[in-house]
Amino acid sequence: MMSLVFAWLNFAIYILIGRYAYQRWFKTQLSTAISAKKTKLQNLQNEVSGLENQIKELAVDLVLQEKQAVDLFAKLEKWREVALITQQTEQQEFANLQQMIAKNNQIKMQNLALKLAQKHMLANVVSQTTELLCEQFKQSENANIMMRGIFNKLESR
Amino acid sequence: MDWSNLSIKYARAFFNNYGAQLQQADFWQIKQASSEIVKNKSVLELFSLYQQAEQQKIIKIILNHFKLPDCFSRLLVLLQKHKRLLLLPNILDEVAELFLYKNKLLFFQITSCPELSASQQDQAVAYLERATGMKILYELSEKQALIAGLKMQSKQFLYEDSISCRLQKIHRKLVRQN
Repeated sequence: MMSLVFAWLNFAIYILIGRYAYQRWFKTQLSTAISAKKTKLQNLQNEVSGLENQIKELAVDLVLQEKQAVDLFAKLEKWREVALITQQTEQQEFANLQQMIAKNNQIKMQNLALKLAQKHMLANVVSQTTELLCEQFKQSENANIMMRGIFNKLESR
Repeated sequence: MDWSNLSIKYARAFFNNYGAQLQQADFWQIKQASSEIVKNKSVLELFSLYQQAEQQKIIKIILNHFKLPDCFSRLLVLLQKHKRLLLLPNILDEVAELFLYKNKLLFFQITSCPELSASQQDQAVAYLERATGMKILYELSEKQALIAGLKMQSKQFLYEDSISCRLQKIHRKLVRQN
């Protein structure tokens, strides 16, 4: 019985010593370690929430960019159509212009040929007239009449 | 270099010194000499090949040939010295012009077809004197190209009444109308 009591006493003393040692050395270390872990956890949680927010924003951005891409693609398609139409009309206009220039050139060439023919004819007429006049004025009578006319004019001036 | 201006300068310098000595007969000789030298410009190039004594002889020969006054020998020597003998015909022309200007004369080239009679010449010259108010020197020639008519031309004036002229006017009018 006595040994049981001593055993309980020893046990109690051990517990008291252990409690004292716990409270004296380990408690503060444990509490600081726990608080450090807690703050780390809190930081990590904060970071996670920040990342979640970022992911949400990125998702929103992605949706917006997708929409913009679709719009741009639609615009691009429209522009391509417009460009094709304008290219076709320009080609048509160019062809028309070429045709017009060719026609104008043809008309000009015809006019030029006509003018050349007229000039040639005129030159022929002039040379024939000159020959005729030379023949006419070889006769001294005609030349004298001409000279008399000239000198009458000179006199009257 | 402007050869025309240079010729004028030589001519003026010559005329200032010797212009008073020139007579009307000299004018005709100067004109004739100028036209003949233009036709044979190579003679002037040969001139520089001779030595000075021989050049003097050649100058005398040239002056005698063209019946030019002695004062021209100085001009020839100067031009030879300046190596500008090729300007001689231009200078002669300018001297002739200065002679006309100083003596209040006008030179007309009168061409006609047929040839003018003496009375017609007088009439033409009288008309020119009346019209210009100056005395007239003239050179007559016959030109078949006129067909019939008269052409009187100086450096400043032109009078033409001929069949070829009328024909040209008609031709030009027709060309313009076309």
